[in-house]
Amino acid sequence: MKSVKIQKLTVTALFTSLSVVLSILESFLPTFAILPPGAKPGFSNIIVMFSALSLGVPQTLFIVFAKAFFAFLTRGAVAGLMSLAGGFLSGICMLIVLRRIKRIGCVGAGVLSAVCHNTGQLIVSFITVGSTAVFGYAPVLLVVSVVTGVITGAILRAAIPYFNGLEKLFSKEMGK
Amino acid sequence: MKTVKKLLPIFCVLAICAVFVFSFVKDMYSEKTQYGFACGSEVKVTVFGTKNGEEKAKSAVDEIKCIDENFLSDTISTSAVYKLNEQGEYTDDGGEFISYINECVDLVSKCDKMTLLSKPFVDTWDISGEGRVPSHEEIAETVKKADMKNLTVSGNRVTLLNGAKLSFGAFGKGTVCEKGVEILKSEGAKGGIVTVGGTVGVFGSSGKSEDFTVGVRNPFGNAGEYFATVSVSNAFLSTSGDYEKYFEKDGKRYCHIFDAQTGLPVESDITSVTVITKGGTQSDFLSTALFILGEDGVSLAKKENAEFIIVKKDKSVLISSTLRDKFHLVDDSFSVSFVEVN
Amino acid sequence: MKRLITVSDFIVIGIILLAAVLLLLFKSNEIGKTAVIRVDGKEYKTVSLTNDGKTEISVNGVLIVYGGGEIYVENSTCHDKICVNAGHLSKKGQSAVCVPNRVSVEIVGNDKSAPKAVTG
Repeated sequence: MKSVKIQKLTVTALFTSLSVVLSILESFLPTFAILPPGAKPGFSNIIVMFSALSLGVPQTLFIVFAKAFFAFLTRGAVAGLMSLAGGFLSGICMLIVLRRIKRIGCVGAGVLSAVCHNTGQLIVSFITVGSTAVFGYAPVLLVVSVVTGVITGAILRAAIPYFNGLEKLFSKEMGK
Repeated sequence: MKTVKKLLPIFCVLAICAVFVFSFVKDMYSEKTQYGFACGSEVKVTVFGTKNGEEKAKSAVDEIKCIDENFLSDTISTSAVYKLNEQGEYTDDGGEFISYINECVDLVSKCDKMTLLSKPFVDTWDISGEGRVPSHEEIAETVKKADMKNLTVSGNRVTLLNGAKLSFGAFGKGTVCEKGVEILKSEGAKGGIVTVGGTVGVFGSSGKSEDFTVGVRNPFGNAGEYFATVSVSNAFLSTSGDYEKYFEKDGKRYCHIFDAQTGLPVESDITSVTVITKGGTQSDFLSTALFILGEDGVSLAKKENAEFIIVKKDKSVLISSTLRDKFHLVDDSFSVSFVEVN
Repeated sequence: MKRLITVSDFIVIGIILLAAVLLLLFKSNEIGKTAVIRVDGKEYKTVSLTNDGKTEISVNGVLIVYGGGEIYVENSTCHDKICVNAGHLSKKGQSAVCVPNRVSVEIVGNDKSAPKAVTG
């Protein structure tokens, strides 16, 4: 039993660092012609989706909080708050969609995750800016969410086999 | 545990690859802009597709400010021009300032309605203040002072006679714009745009194309509004017009560009002239010269291998025929006709 | 194992895109309309122009008013008043510059087709 706990802890730590690394790499990306300013591909959402799928509720939420804390440390309170709101919304959404709603596939999950993430960020920017003007940006963000969500969903699907080993390992260990 | 161990190197390799790809792509499409003030205008420097573009743009802005403060400005007391105007003479140890004055004297000699000694005009008419119309005697006085014979250069010494005062108003912006482009090039920038007031210099590539689209200011609209665009590569564009710096007295508009022979602000049916050439100082000079000369200036533009866009007050536009494929009209209320220049 | 894409996914995407179109119909002309106020070449403040009311801000002796889709210099301590004469700015790329006070206002947005520089 103990080794399973340690193992889950290790994988959670690995995922956490990976999601942080991915969000740093993402900040290096130039704003491509197709993406409006502020919109990002959201590769770290893939990690949240992984953990929602294979780890569990506390682990997923831990990754979300850790990522937000990192954003808070490196980019300030507003960025931290945005990351927290976006991550929390999309995290909860993924836990429900990926674990409970079997009819939705990887692409659908990716899109929903991106939409939730952007919605959370938009709400925070509404609170901090104090103007409804930010919602004028919503349609653009929705379209962008669909595009990036399809990409992250496809990447998630392609990467699942590599993580199957992890799941098998858990079940084997738990069987002992 | 084994799976984690197996996955770890894959993660590492992926992460390293990603960093390389991202840092490469990041530089390729980067676009960094820095702003500042010099030569009585806003300075804007954009660097495309270059590592540390921001620093390079910053150093160009700083260098432009430095040239203005040390040499070209006629209002900052540390500049060579200011000292020359105060003392009537100036000895240049570096020689750079002298060769620049000689370059401008050469250019001015191509247009007898222009002068390097235009400061008395601007001061007497109080162009940078409220504006006033001086008496005939005063105007005659400024015309005498503006005569280019009052400027003599011998060795590394410049002398001003008869109370003449020098101003690089029609040259400085083009010169610092050219300098800015030179600095960016020497620092290895792949492409960029330097804007100093009405002069724009473009070079290299934006990462997508070597052609840069530059707007031509709508003289009847707000700042930043353009009635047409031109696509240019490795060139300088300057615009002179009567729509921004002017004052009004008794219902009459007096602009900031003066005819050196009459001493009066230029009055014509032209409201703005844009000139496109390979040199910044040259384009700045030519846009002013063409504004003063009007359509007579077309032959000067031909001689200098310059392309032009002349906008008249009735919204008709004269354009060099060589710009036919590069010129794109945005505002249909303007009517365009081409002038053969070959 | 999760499938890559299902019928439900298409329905989800369809609903989201429909929502985007509906939102766009309501707010299409207001997207991304912001202005940057710079002092001595450095960004001082970025303001949104989409509020209906007018907001006043005084920077270095330049009184700037924004709101209702536009921004303009109401008054300035400078002599030439070129910044005030620049008028009401509402389109991307338009700017008002006060050289004596080293203040500039420029409208920014995502209009990729706009030229990168304007001469004149």
